[in-house]
Amino acid sequence: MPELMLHKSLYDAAVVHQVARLYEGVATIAVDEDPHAVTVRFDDVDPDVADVLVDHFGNHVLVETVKQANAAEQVLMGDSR
Amino acid sequence: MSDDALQDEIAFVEDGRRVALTLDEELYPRDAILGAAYLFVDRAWVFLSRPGDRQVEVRLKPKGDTDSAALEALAGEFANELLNQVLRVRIGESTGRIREYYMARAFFSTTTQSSIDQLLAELDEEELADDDLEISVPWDTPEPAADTPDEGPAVGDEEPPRA
Repeated sequence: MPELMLHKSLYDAAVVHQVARLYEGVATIAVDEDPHAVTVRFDDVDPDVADVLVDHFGNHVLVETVKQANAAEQVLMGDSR
Repeated sequence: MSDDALQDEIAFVEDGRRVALTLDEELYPRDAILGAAYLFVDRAWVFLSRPGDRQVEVRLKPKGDTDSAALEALAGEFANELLNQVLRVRIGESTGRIREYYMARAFFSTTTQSSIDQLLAELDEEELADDDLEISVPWDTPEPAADTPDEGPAVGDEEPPRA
């Protein structure tokens, strides 16, 4: 079963949970947290996406984490772009 | 700075399928690393990890077929983009106070503007009430007193020229 460990100082833990819900259709996903990291386990993976599932999930969480950070920064700075 | 010099500063290893760069967070802020990584997600699978304190490992796995040369080039491009992002972060930090100042000024000037509007309204009522155009014209300004000691004779009081 593939597993992905995402460090909380690099990835937003809340985003990991959100993205995990999006991928429920292609795998059974369990998300565990400890003080430093979020571990994502993928079970019952759809064979069509097995090769790229973990990589795709990692990119997805990264993109959403950066978007979240930028949105927060824009709110703080009053940026209306 | 040449690519060779860059790659000497940013250590990377590749195994034929992916390339990994280990970055010191003292030199490359986390936001810069995330910003550069974000720009590579369309070309590569990107994974970030923490091999040690204040260190970030960036693993890039190209989405298509690859070889060692392409991986080295990818690492070099990432390093260059990382420098761009570091600069962006540093400029953001150095201009942060200015942005805060302008934000505060924007809020403050709303109050100031209403005060100015109020003062102008008072002036309109007191001084310019009978002036349709509300333009100050020279013929309306009061003439100085004729007996002012520092000034010359008033028009009409001059002596006629001698014949």
